[in-house]
Amino acid sequence: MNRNRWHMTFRPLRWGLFGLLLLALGCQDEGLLPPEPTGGTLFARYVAIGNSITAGYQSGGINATLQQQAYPVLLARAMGTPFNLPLLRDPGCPPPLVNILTGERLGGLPGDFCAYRQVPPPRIINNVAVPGAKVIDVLTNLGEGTSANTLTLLLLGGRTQLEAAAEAHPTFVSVWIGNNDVLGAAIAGNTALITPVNTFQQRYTQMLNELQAMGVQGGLLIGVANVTVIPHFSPGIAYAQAEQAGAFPPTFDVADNCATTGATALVPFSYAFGELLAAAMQGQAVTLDCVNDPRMLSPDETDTIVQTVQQYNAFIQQQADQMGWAYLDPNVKLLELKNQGQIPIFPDVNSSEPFGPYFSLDGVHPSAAAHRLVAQEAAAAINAVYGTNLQVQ
Amino acid sequence: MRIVTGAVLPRLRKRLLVGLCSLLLSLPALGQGFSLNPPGTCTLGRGGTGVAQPCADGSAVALNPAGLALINRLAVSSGATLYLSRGSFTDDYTEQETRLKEQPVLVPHLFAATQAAPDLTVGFGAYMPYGLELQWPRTFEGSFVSYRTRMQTTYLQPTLAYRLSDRVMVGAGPVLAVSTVALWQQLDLSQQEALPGVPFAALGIPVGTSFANVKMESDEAYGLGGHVGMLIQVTEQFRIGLRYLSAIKLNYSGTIRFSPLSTGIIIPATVELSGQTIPAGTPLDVVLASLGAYDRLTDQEAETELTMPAQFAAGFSWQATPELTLLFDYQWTGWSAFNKFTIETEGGGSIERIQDYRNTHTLRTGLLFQASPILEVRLGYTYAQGAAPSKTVTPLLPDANRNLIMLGTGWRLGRGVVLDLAYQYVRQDDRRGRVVDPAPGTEPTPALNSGLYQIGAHVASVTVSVSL
Repeated sequence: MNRNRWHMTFRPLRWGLFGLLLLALGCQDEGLLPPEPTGGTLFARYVAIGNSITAGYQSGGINATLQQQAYPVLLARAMGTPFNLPLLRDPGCPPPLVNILTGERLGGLPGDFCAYRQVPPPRIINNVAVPGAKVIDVLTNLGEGTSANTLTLLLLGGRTQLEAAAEAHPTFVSVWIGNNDVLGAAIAGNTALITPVNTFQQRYTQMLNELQAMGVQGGLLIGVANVTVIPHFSPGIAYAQAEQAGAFPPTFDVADNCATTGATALVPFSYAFGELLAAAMQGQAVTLDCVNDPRMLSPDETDTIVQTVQQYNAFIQQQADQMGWAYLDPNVKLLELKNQGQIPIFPDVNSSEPFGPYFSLDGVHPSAAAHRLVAQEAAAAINAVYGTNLQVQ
Repeated sequence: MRIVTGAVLPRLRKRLLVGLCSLLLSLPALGQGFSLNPPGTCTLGRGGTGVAQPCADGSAVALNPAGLALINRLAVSSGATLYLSRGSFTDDYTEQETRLKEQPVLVPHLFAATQAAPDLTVGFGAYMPYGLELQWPRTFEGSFVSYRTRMQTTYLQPTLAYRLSDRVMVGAGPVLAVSTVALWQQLDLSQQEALPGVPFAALGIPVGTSFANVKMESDEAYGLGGHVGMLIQVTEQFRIGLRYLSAIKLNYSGTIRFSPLSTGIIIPATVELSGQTIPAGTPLDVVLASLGAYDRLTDQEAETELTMPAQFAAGFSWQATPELTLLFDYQWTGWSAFNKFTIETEGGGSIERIQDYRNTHTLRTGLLFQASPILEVRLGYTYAQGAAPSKTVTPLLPDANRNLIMLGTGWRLGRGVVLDLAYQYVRQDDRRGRVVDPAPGTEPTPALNSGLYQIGAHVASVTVSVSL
């Protein structure tokens, strides 16, 4: 066969082949991919790391209702991104307090009651925060200094926060961790329990390194709260004034030093009410001593805690700046509320909001209103760094 | 059902059968559902067409039994087809892609036919119209539905073809189907019961915590069916063909085997469970053992049933010029027979997978060009409609519509020896699917779909046929 004959006879084949290729390859599959988050691809997968505040713990308990009031849920809503929670069954684990004097909890259940998780659970969890967590708990569950608890198992199934976060392949994270590195010391009146600043920095750095290794594209770091400002702590003078006003039973004595040398010592509510007053109500004579009782937080100890928080936060802000992440100092708003009188010096036990509108019934954890504030402040901090337009309603 | 057919087969004949079937290895699904390409290299190169004009290599046994009547001498063909499929699942949310394990598979085929009398031709074919093998990594999120599926069904078909007149030919043959099926999956601890009425998920065990591997493997199952066809030579250049392959029901019996797997979970804090104090740092596996969770994983006998769907095909061939022939086939496949997949265990339990496949239509076109007296060039295109509805696109079989293009040649080497070569590119439409089963007692829905399956394949085939 000569060259021309080959050419003539193969021409229809060439066109046929071309047509078949168009048929086979030209088809475009549309509508197969999920919609992008309304806030932008940066927020495609948002994971929140933290402690009880981030988990949604309020009034000494946690349940699905409270989990859904937490600030990361509100932020995720503003981002328009899916946000799965490890929801707990009602009434909670433990159920939240409904009366701070009697210690009554939702459903009349005891403080060690746990209603387990809702099923079926989500495959991916976006809020990996665990109540009680310190910085070390984000990294590991076992070992010295860790504070893993039943909720670590219930919420994360035994994984660390970082392990659970990695499964979501986060594009954006918020981290609010470190409060418990000082809170335990404040409540116990023992500054030896504070996580040393260099240890804190080392663990925090490791956490950020591991997050960056996950391919996280952006984030928000929230500084440690100045725990001495929260309404769980009242100055000794407030107790002295309350006694004068007849707020306590005769078996509850407030030492004179609470009005003098111990006037500025901070008294933890959980100690004064939860232990001393509870014993007094049972008929036992007790005395609140604002100077000699080691459970009090002396002015020096308070200074130590405040300075530690400042050092923590200087480091956290520095890390955020280095990574180009957003940073939020919660203490600006906290002090503003305190100065506005929104955070009471002494709990009004006859009120439905004994610790004011921004704190729940344990005086430590923010209320739903405070979570909304945090979410709004967090959105503003994110918008300022990333040029986004997150709006928390 | 125990293998009744096996009882009536003489032992030696059964061994031969099994040996022959073992030549036909497993392969990925490349047609719709778990159907495969029409067999033979010559047929593959022309887009799978041939109902009106089967290849002369004896593969008419599978394409149209009546086509054997066109063979007027002894024809034997043997060859192999190499399948290399590739695919992936991309999770909507994490955007993580999990790839199918790529493993080339070689599948031999065998056909023979001879003219027994002036108008009568006899033939035999061993071919695999239905088969499937898919393997995902064990770490795949869909591994709790299935991480490996294998189904091999070989049809052994003796055939008679008769020329009724110069223009009409008919053919028919019984079909013995020999089949095995196997399914591998993992058990998700989160769905198992920890305490009465309390699944492990309620205790926080994450979804997708594997704690046992399950292998369900059948013995060989046998079924009988039939295949009939007709060819009508309308004009010297134009011929039409019809064929019908009956559905074949197969009853499988086999074994479900469990292998415990370590969860890798360490209890992070001291907890109370069912009156027991479990100290922090205890491996969850120890807790499972104390709860007797592994004791429930005893091997079991099981039975299941599958129906290989019926096929009806019609086509024509038109010899446009002495060198150029055009072919067109239409095929209907009765996939609605695959509505569910139920495994009955000896303990009286059952595992049911709703499939709800729909009957499908396939269009095939082919072009034959006789480039020289010794060289035929072939071209083909097939559009195969997917059988699975949107709710049952799973790791078990991520089915979708497919476009296939083929190229092939037949090279006459001399002395009745022909070498056939073919290549096929398979482009399956991307399709959304799921990686989880619906909750027990509920129907699957497309709302469970959580990602995109993308499947494609390259297929190459070679056959040597001899006509004496």
